[in-house]
Amino acid sequence: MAIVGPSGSGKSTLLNLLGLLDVPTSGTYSLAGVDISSCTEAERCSIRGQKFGFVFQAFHLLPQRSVVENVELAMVYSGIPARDRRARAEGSLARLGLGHRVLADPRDLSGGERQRTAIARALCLEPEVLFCDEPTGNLDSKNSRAVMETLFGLNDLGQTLVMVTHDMALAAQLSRVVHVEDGHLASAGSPF
Amino acid sequence: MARRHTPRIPGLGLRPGRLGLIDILRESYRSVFRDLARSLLAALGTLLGCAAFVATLGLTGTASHQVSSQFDARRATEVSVTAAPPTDPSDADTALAQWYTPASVARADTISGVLHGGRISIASAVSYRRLFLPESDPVPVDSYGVDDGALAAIAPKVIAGRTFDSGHVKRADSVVMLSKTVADRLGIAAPGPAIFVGDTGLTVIGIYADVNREPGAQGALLLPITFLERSEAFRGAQIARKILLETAPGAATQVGDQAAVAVAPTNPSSVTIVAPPDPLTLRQAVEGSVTLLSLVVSVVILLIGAISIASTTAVRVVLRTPEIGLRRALGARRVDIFWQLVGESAGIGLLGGAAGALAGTVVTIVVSVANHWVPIIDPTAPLLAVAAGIVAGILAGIHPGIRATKISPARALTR
Repeated sequence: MAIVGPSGSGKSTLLNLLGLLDVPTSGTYSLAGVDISSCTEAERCSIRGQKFGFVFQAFHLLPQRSVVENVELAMVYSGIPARDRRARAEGSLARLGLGHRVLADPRDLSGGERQRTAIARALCLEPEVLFCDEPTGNLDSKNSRAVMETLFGLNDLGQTLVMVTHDMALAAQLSRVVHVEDGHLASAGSPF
Repeated sequence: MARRHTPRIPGLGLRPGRLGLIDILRESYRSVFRDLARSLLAALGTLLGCAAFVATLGLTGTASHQVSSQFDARRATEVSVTAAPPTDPSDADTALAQWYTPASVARADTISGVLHGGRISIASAVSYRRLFLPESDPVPVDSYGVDDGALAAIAPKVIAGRTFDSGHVKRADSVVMLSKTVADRLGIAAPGPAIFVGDTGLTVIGIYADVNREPGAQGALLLPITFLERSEAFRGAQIARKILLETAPGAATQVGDQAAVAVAPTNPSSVTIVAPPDPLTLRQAVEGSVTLLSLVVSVVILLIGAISIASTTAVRVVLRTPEIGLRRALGARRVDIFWQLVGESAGIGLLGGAAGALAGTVVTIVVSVANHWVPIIDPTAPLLAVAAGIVAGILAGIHPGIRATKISPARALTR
């Protein structure tokens, strides 16, 4: 699913609400039949950490940590034993074509590699939904293409994507597009 | 912090989340030690506080040891017995005859802890001449008449000739040892010649440069007490008398307690005992006051260090807002963020404490070696410094940690 709309329309706010990074001030959000507003903070954290993955425009990779340690970070808060984290992180990086960069400093990676590292971090817990907020916003066209090919490839394999983008051409490649304007859903449905 | 929380939402198959102590320590270690330069900068206040703590304690201990070992070697092993001011001046001579005797000294010698004891009669400002010529200029010198026991306690360091002995004392020989100062004033460079008091000659048998006790003898001369007491030459001089006891280290107080009865058993109040204060008590008093002062100074510096960590951690929280947002997105609970920041702050405190303990130890050793002292470092001081650094770090991390828990993940990730 793509969330599109003009700047300031509320695309990222909608993504944050869906991803439980924010709580709605009005309305209800039901997940698996449970009203999220009835959940505790700890429960929302568990859902975020174990069922959702996030990819941000700014990558948010930690400096002073290797690529694989950045990916391992996703498992620190999810009850994965420390002894299993390294193997899962390396598997996730290999899946994204970064098997040769596991010990690299993120600052030495290209923009595309950084974003693929962030995607590997989001995917290592096999989330049911992958939330992407302008994942190519900081990339040049070549790296953008590579990252989108990666995301579309995952989508083809059954990974649910919820992606905020202002690029209508990209949005058109997803199965559902939601238009947001002035904080309201202007339209929702198939791009075709 | 390590408590599991089990989500109660059915159908989602959520695992209980858990951030254990090991995870907190690992995350804190990576944050603190992977950016060592910045962490050391943050730890600077604590480092200085802990270094001051260890160095002041170390230098205090070293200096006190130095003072007390010199104190032990000289003053703390000396007890003097002098005449008490008589109630009736006419009794003074009778009292003197009772306590100022070889028998009194022999009794004092039997007190446990006494190494040497002897009588000293000091005749003030006696005029000596180098030549037996009435017209030569007299040199006024204090004359120490001593027996062989007192001579052993005074222990003059002879640089030329020899000391007199018990034979000289017994025979009341007219021999004399000059201090280097007096020898220079009289123009005598080596033993051999005679000097004169009135028309009585004394043969110079030795010259000494220093004394272990009776610092007054440093600029005076020593001669057999028997000669000084019997010779007509000293008849008109004012003479002060005392018994000097050299004791084993640490025994002076006990010797002082028993000396009056030993020296004047029939009338102990006729003498006054001068014993040094107990060196252990004195050392403890000196160390206690200096240590208290240094502890107060160190605690103040440590407080400043803790405030510096707190302010640096607060700044780090602001700078690391996106990271906090990311961790929250990855499933971190507020309490996890809190403990991680407290852990990092404790790590910075540990770094400051350890570096400070090392710096303080080095300062103590360098200052001690430069002064030719033996460095005395209590091993608990560096350990205490490290512990204090950690505690300061933990306390300093609480407020920034609480602030960090209030950061909204959605807002943090947009920065």
